Amino acid sequence: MNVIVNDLLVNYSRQGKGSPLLLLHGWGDRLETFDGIAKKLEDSYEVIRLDLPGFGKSQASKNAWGLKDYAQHVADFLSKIDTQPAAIIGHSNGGAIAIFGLANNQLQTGKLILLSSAGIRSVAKGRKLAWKLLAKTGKAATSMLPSAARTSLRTRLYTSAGSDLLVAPGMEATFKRIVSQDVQTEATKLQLPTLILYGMNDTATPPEYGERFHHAIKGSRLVQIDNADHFMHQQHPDKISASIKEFLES
Amino acid sequence: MKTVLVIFGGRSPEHDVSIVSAIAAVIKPLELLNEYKVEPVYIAKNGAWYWNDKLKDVSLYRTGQIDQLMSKGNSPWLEFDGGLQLVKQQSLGRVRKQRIDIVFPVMHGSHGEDGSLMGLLEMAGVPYVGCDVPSSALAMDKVLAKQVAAANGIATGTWVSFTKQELQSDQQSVKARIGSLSYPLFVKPAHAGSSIGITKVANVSELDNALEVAAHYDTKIIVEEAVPNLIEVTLPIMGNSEPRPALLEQPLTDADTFFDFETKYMHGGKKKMPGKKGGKLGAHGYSNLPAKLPGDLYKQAETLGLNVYRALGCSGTARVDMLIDSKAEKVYFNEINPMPGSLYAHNWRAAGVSGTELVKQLLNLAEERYAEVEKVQTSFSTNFLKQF
Repeated sequence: MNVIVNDLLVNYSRQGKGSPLLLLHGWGDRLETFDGIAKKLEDSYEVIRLDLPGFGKSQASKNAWGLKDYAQHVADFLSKIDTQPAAIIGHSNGGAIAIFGLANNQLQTGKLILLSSAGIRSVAKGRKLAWKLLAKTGKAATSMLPSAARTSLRTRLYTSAGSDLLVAPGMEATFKRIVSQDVQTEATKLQLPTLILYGMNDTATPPEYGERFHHAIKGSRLVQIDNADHFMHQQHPDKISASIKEFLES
Repeated sequence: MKTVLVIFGGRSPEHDVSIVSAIAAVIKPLELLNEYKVEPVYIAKNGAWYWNDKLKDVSLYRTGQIDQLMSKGNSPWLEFDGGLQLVKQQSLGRVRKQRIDIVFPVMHGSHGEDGSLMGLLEMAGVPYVGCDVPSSALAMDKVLAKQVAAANGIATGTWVSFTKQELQSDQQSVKARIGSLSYPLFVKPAHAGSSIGITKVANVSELDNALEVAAHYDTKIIVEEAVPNLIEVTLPIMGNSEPRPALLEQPLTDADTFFDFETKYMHGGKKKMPGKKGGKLGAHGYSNLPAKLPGDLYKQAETLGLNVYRALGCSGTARVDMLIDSKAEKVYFNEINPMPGSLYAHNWRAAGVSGTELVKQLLNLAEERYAEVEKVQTSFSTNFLKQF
């Protein structure tokens, strides 16, 4: 389905019946990333997913965006479709957007679920520097991912309607803005029940990020998933959706 | 050996499909023929033109190496000196020049399939494949195409159209006109080539959003009644004054996504069927070819398709999409595509025309039309200037 939000075309989907859940995908990804868990959640919840601007079938923003712009866009999208989500589930950069938006009262929801959330940029200065260097090459968006995920992600990217969004001038500048934004301070402001899930084999957002967020978000629950990498929701849709359901019903 | 310039890519949302169409359905068959020299020009999404032999390789676009090629320049300029010549600056001050005998535009959507590129080629005075300026422009405007078809006695279904400006300034009367139609409706931008911006509207509560989405993409909007008991068919046609049809085809999926990037290259030319894990089907999984239709509907649709082709003044090739009410046994003209994705080569193959024969015949048709136009004298000697 399409809707216009602040003069940008947004592609989104909604399925199932029940309390609405909003799912936010990561950088270079698209709403289909959640196909597996959406199918498991739709029997108890209304699952709402959108392609964030510049990804999937949604139009790119006209200038470089940071987390604040993305969070505001999500808030405006929700108001356009007249929905208040009972919970927000954010994967990777989608997690960073959720943390930023909730901490700054741009977004409101009852519960937060972070899947391999990004937003920690200061663990290793070397890594940050590497990202910045990669960003300059214009290939950065997928280079930070493990090779298998990179291949699969690039395949998906190049099969999408706007395959070279990554090299669209706007998106490159947006990427550079996004990877320089750390949300650990924002995370300490959160006061809502939060479930934090990280894959033990994740090298893009390693399990130590989960520990940091767990420490920052008061009362949060941390679950580490064995044999899972950055795309654990695709690798283990049963396990991840079961964890989400259990948390939402608790 | 004649030199054929293949132009593809472009600024439209169908940029990727154009790359696949050009490389798989035009460049490869032309090279197999070994009768033409093929020069590729790729138009990037920002509108910049690139000319380099490496542009014939699809892996360039799949792997992203195209970025490196673009960053190194490779942009040509065009010379119109009684024909078309590509010119490119090379290292050490050298200049590469190439005279073009025939152009094969393989562009989909705006700035390519809509007549604008054809206008450039007309100005250059070079033969080119496919529909000419007026027929391309008509075909890419869903409203004008239907008006011309209707004026020629061709059934076009029930629809209304209006401009974005009318929608904004006089919403009440626009809504009243839409109110005369029966739901479900399709709300479409008049010009967008693919399914972008199109919404199926089940009832009046969904109308405003659909209008907003269509108006986001176009200054002209068309709202159509959905045809009941629907069978969709499409017919590729080739020819100038004597058009001939390929096979009437019944798509089982969205016709515009038949041979998209994913299908053709990511899955080795076969599509995974939804719901069937690992199950793969080739082109035959997408459509009934030829379409299986009751009664004389096949003949009716074929005739209607050819009538549309003639009414719009098409030449070279085009694909006519039609909607059939199977209960009423009535065929309606829906849309026409002057440059069908991958030339619909799979259909022509089934109709007995191989991929290489197809491109050769299209080049011949381009030269034939050019010769016809040349015969019509357009320059006269007058003494008009002498009086000043």
